[in-house]
Parts: sequence; structure tokens; C-alpha cells
Amino acid sequence: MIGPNTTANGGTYLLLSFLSVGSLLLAWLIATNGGFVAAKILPTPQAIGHEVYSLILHGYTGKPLWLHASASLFRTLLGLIAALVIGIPLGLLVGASSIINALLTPIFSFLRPVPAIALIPLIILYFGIGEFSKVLVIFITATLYVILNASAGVKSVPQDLVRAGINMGLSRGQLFRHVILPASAPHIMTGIKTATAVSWALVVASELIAAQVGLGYMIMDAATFYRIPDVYIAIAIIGLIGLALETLETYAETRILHWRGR
Amino acid sequence: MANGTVKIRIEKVSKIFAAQRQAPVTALDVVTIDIHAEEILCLLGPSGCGKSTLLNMIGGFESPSTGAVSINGRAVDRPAPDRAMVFQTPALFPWLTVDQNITLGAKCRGVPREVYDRGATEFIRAVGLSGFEHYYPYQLSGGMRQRVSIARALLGHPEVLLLDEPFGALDAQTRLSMQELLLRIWDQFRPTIVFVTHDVEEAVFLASRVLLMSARPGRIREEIVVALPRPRTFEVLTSDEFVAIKKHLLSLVHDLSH
Repeated sequence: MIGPNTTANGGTYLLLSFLSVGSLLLAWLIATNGGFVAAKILPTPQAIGHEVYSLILHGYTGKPLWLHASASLFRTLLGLIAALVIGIPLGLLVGASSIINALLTPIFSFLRPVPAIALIPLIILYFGIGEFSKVLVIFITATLYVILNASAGVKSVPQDLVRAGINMGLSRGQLFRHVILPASAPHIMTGIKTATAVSWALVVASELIAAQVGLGYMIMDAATFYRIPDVYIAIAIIGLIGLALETLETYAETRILHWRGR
Repeated sequence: MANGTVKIRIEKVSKIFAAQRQAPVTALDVVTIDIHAEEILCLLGPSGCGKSTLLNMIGGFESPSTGAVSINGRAVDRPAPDRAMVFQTPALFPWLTVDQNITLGAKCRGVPREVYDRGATEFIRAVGLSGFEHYYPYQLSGGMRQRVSIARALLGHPEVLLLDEPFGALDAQTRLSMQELLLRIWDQFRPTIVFVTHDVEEAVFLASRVLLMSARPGRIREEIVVALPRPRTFEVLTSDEFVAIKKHLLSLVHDLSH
């Protein structure tokens, strides 16, 4: 990994990571089995393990665990991909044109701090409680982040690179394709990563809208019926999938943008 | 001076920058220069004397507030590959290899592949980077990056090569070898060179003519013809004639700043 805090080598990093996660699990084991925390608030690791086994065998409320996970993942990806398809070109346009920037940026800047959850009642009012509304919550928020970063990318392209491109005879289209776009790519990638994290976090909120399947639904349902271990398990699955998504994107980033920051 | 034909004519050019809620700044105050074909002209002066502004106007990146810049009798209205600029930073595209950086312009202009491939090989050899064709800029040293940017400029077969303090960020040794490299390249391809610097020694070493400028407003104060024989190598730097010219120029610079 590249970064300012990389004095620890790969082996040390791994060791320390195992150590920190390991001590957390150990603390959990002692706290619950030693009777320091009530089991109905924080179940023991054994109870969780047993529940995981049962969920794998029987699923949750009649639906297999993978179906809950993939339903959430599908909504997230749908909202996210739509956000990229709309947001990247729009963001590039905002960054490239001062007129479009002046027209749209005030609207985006106003919308960005509004939490998506606050929009849910209105979205239900307009579009009902179907899949579309759930994806829309994710789409709206993710798009704003994608636009913000893509436009920042265009604005941050060094003037000398643009001048070098113009000097070598590039047309406007070629300048965009060969200079502006690749030079903005690191910012766009940051936008994609932020939007992914936000989208995945939002799926839980969006599944508050009368979902019958999904990890967010699972949490809501389990909490309602006091199935506390299932709440923890759903949270853990959300965390693990989020981690996997980020790892995947970071890997793609270091491969595609190998030149970044160097 | 290689020959007498005027290549670049800068006629009564001035540049005034008007900023909001500030008094307009005269970056360049009615400058007239004729630059001859195959000449190496150095614009020497402190920061704020308008030397980079002048270079940008020859390059077509900025337009004069008054007066006109023409090349071969044609007014300059936009940048073009036959007036190649080498910037203070190498301004390489970090996502492209050395070879791709050099050939991007030719590729986009529709030059046939075998033509620009041949050119790339030639100019990569000329700047001493053979074997580094497939390296990325971040894998090269500062001096090597600036070599790439010179090779890239050469691939447009420029009649005019414009350099804006290109070696300012390099260490002394690298700078000297880059200066020698530029002289060899000039010897080989004979472009007209306009070179901006604030380094007196660099100006004398490279130039056939030095124009000394002063700031606020930017004006040309002195013209010094450097008649040192060519080809020049680093040994020139300690010759009596070189030292005499440098001494003269230094005292002029000194007087201007006091």
C-alpha cells in the first residue's frame, strides 16, 4: 500500500491487524461468557456461530441468506451504475463549462448535505414503495458524489498538460479524450469509491421502504422480533461485503491508475 | 547569427493584465524584437519582467494587448506544433509511456504510424533516451523527463523551439548536461530557439544574443551579442571571452536591480 504511514512492512501490517481483530474477538468472548454483558444485548460468539449455522441451513424468514445479500447488492449496484452513467458525464461537463457549472452547482451543493433518509417520505409519496424508490434513494446520493468529484477532476487538470496538448495540435475532442479525461481519472475514481461506500450504507435505509428481502430488511425485521443475533449477523455481512467492494475497487485503482500521485 | 532572415517579428507588443478591483499591470511595455532564423535568443530577466508572457505570445498561448507577433510574416493566432513549447515542468502525461508521450500529437494529427515511429526513434536517440521508450514518466529522473519533453517538442519538426526556464528545477550537473544536449540538438536540427531564463551563465552559454529585461514594466534594457564560437561545450564556461561577457552582463543585471 502506498501512503505516508507505511513504515510497517507487509508482514508487520498483517500481524498487527490480526492482533487488533483477535483482541476484539477475545474481549467479546470474555465479556459475554464472563457475564459482564447481558446475552440479550450482546450474544456470545457461540450463540452467533450457532445462529449463522442455522441461517445457512434454513435462511432468514424462508429466504436463503445469499438472497438477502444479493438483493441488497443488486439494488446498490443498480443505483450506483446509474449514478456513474449519469454522474460522470455530467460532472465532466460541469468541470469543463463555466456556464453549466454556474447553472447546476448551486442545486447540487444544496442537495448534497440533505441526508437521503430525509428524502424517503417524499420518494414514497411520488413513486410508491416499489424497487424503483429503493434504487432512487441510492442513485440520488451517489450521483451527487460522482458529479462533485468528476468536476473537481476536470478543474484540477494542470494547465501545462492542457497547453502541451493544444501545442501538439490536438483538437478539442482529442484534448478531452487524451488529456482531460485521463488526468481527471484519479478524481473520478475517488468519486466512484465514495459513491460505492455511501450507496452500500444507504441500502439499509432504502430497505426501510417496505422491503421483503435484503440485509436492511433483515436487520429491521430481526430487531422488531427481537432476534438480536440475526441483527449482528446482518451487520457483519454488510461490513464484510462493503470491505470486499472497497478492496476490489482499490485493486482496480492501483492497476489502472498506477501512475497516480507519482 | 546563422543567417539574416527574420523568423519571428515582435512589433510594438505590450501586454496589460487587468484584474478585478486592482490597478492594471503592465507586464510588457511596447517591445520590438526581430528574431532571426536559426538564432538562439535568450530572454534574461527577473521574475515579473514579462519574459514568459513574451514567450507565451510567440507560442500563441496569449495574445498581445497591443502590437503584433508574426512568424514567417504570418500573424500568430494560436498554438501550433511547428512552434513547440518546452515548459518549466516537463508537462508529460503520467499515464503514457515515453514513446506514447512523444507520439501522441503526431498520432492525433493523422501522421502515418511508420513516419512518427521513425521520428520517435530518431529524437529519443537525439536526447539520449534509447532503451527507455516503454518507461513511464514517474520511473524517470527530473532531467530525463525534461529530455522526453524536448523529444516530444522535436517530433512536430518545429521551426521554432520555445523554452520557458526548462532547466530551472534541475541540479547543477544535470542542468549543464541538458544545456549541452540542447546545443547539440540545435546543431543537428537548426531550429530557431527562444530561451527564457534568469540565469546569466546559462544565457551566455547558450545564446547567440541575449536580451536583458527589467520588471515593472517589462522592458528590454540591453542587447548583448554572444559571438563565442560553436559548437560550444562546458570548456567554454572557463574561457576568458566567456568570463568577460558574463562579467559585463552581471554588472548590467546588478545596475538594473539597484
